Amino acid sequence: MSPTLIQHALLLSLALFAIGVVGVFLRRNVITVFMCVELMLNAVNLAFIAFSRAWGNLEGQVLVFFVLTVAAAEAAVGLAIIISIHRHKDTLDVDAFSLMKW
Amino acid sequence: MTPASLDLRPLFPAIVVAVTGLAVLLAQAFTPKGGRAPAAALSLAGLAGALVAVVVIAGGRGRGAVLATSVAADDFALFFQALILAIGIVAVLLSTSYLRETATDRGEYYALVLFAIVGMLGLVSALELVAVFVALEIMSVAVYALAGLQRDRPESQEAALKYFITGSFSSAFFLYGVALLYGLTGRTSLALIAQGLRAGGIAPAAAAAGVASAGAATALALVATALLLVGFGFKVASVPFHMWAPDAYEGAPTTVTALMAAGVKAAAFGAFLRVFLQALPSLAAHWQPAVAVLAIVTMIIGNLGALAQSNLKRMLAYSSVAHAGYLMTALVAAPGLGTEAILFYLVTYAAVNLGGFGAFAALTRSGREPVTLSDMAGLSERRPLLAAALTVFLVSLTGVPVSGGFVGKFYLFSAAVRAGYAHLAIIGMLMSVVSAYYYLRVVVAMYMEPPVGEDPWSRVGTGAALALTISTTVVLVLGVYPGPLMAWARAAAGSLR
Repeated sequence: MSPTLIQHALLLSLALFAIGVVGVFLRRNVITVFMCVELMLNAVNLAFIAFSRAWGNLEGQVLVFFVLTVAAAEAAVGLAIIISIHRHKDTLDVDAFSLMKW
Repeated sequence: MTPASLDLRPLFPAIVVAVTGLAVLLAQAFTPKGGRAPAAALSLAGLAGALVAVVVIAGGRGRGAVLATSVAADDFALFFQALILAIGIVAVLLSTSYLRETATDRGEYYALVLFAIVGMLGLVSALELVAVFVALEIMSVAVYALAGLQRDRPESQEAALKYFITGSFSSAFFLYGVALLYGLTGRTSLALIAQGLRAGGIAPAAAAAGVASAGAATALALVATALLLVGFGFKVASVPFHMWAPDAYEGAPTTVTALMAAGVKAAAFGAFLRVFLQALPSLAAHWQPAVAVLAIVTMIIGNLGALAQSNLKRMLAYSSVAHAGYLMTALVAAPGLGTEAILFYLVTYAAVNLGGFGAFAALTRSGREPVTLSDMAGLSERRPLLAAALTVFLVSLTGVPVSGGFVGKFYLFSAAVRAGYAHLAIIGMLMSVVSAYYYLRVVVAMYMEPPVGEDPWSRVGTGAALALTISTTVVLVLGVYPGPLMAWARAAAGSLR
């Protein structure tokens, strides 16, 4: 991978991360918000792979596996929480979750 | 690469707790319908066993770094592990009666508490950013589930959701910071990152990552530092990353709130200290002022927020935000005296928060918890001992002499003064005066106001009584005889130099 290609990969990763951050703040559906967080994590994965390639060592790629595993565990617990709150509220709009002040 | 060493002794405390967690889950599964597995007793045994392991390791057997130097049992890690295991024991003692009264008495509660503690134990002993991340997530995922364990209480669900969304959002920031540091140095180990950042390791990295100049590389290192600061800021609930804390603390089951306020905060500060002092010392001139600013706004907003609260749990949540600010005043003075002060203060802070939230949990009867100031009215007549203990905790949170909180705050602020941040200490002291208003309001309600109506509160159970006694003793003993703990904190702080 040439330096420019690495640069492009990093720019893409930055763009994906930014889209994720903006999405978390703008989207109103909890599941979409959660998907935006996942997008941020995958943007980080892309950066790890690009850096790993640049350095020619494998630490970055190993890290990606850890991130994927953790993200899966997080998704399992997170979706369970979303299901359970949906049973109470019948909506997934984040503005509806205001029993307590944000 | 050399073959990985299979010496797992430094990991023993975490392994014991993890295996106990699995045993608790299995015990629940194999208990006949209608029966109850002795989950609390098993958890206590596991935590006590792990504490013994910590003591044995501290005695000299099994110190050192293992698993390609990603995890270590050094003085710093052992100090925190002992603290976290003690927090776990007190939290389990508090839980039995509370869970019974709120109909959440299920085996998985204890298993999740144990798994969260595994994460905390890992977090304070990790020498490597991947290990920090994995431990952080083990802890967080377990606590998200714990926060939402009261499935029939909408507040609990909301707390879990808000904690989960903000927590995973902040993890992503933390991780991007890790990625940038890895990009700059090609390493994830804290010591090697520090080496790379110091010894002009930025130059080859700059070329490798396609960054044109050394200036741009330094900028990238600062961005990475800022991202890590955001990640840890969320976990320790510092302003402006605190907005989840009041909701999560208020909605979560009260014993879980106690664990969050004491354990999660202690473990997060442990990792915060280690990462910033071991990996980023060469950037200290840049991150110290930023941490100082965060400390100021955290102290001010946390205390002003607490003033405005009528819900007791929410008030203590804002108070825990304010205390993150006090702790951060010493972070700018770390390493050395600042680190010591933080270690010492975290012990008193943990005892006080376990006690404070624990007192509310101990009073809970058939799902009803003390929520408002009027619920506290006349408590000194109904539960004289519990009211006295709660007074000790609130007085210690304020920082009045003869309590551990006073010695701790004195230690924190004198560290800040000695590092040339006297203004932080002044703001901290002024804010402590402000905090006296909302803390002592509760004491006034307990002692000056007459009890109203029938006594709605539960008798204090044996486990809770024991837990509150331990917390009170710790607070009072540290207030008059802080020497031994200070010496221990000094030794522990030494391994971060």
